[in-house]
Amino acid sequence: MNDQTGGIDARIAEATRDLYHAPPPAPSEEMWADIQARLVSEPPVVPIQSASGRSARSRMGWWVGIAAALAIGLGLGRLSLVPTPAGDSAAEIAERSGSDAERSTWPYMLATRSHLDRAESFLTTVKTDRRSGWNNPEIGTWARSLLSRTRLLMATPAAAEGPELKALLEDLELMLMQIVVTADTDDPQESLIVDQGLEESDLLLRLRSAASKNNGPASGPTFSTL
Amino acid sequence: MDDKQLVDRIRSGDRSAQRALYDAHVDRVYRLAYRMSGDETLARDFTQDAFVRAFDRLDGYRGDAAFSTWMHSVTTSVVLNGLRKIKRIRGRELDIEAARGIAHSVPQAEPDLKTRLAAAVNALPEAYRTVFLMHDVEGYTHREIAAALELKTGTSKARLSRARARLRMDLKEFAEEWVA
Repeated sequence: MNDQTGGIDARIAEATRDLYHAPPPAPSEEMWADIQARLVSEPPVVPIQSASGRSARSRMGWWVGIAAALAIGLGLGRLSLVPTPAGDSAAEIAERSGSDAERSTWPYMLATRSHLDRAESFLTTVKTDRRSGWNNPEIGTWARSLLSRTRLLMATPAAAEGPELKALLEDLELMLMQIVVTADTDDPQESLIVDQGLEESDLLLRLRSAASKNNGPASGPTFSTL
Repeated sequence: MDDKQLVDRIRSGDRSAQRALYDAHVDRVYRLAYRMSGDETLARDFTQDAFVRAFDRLDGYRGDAAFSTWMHSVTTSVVLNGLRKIKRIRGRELDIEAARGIAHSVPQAEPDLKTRLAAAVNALPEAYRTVFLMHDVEGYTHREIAAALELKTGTSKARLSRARARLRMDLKEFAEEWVA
């Protein structure tokens, strides 16, 4: 390699650093909230294969989800405990406890938003696949994973923030259950319900709208306005 | 506290050590994921997947190499597999659009450096592009790349050399200006 070639390579590298997929700052807190939720929630994937087995397994999934959410909640609660100075007035303490509560809720909200974003992408893929007649063998696995996380998030404080978010998670849970059942059984009736749900309901629109809302500690929680 | 001590603490059940290890490596992992995918959501998903997988499989880390080397091996595996999956799905979507007659030709605009550069980098074979982005753009050493991609360092060097040669050729009109 001569000097000229080396110089050109250096200019190309420099231009690539500046112009090709230049990364923004990493959204560390948001990603960490999601990683924590996944580390707790991923091991117990609840298989749903038939109508008869669905009820018991679904209940088990709920208990696992609630236990996982409690574990995360306790962990976050411990992290957010701040010693109270002796001289603080009752009003100051009340004000601080309010903002502490908000701080302990927003990681759940970030995780929820990220989950809704992923669910929206997944359902769009399912819709495209079904329209084209392609039977993706991985759909069932992905739907199960999303289903277990949906159930976990339904038991977190974020879901209690507003009835619309709770309703959205419940509708998403039903749709994912339907997709899991369809993937397992190939029942034409179940397939029809999935198709109708994807084509006629406003679930995708609501997911898109919920996932696009801004969230974070600076702006404060916004899922309550969904 | 170094990475090895943090890994030992995680193995003994200390969850706070996970956060410390995450903080130490998240920026570099995210940068690589973003640089390779060019999409904020994908980069976030890949970064999360890489850390979840790393924490789940920490028993597989024997400590022979630096933790960062192992972590980047997990990251490149997650990103490359993820991008291949997406490419398959997008390929099908494009087929559907073409079949419906929706696809239309995009008028050619006057190419600027950014557009041409992106086209040239995207046109590199995946194996060359990965090494080029890791070495010349993100500053990984050939040893780190070789460990992450399970190659010999000589292979990493050869791929980089070919990637650079192709980029020089594809961007020769700009190269002439730079030389001048």
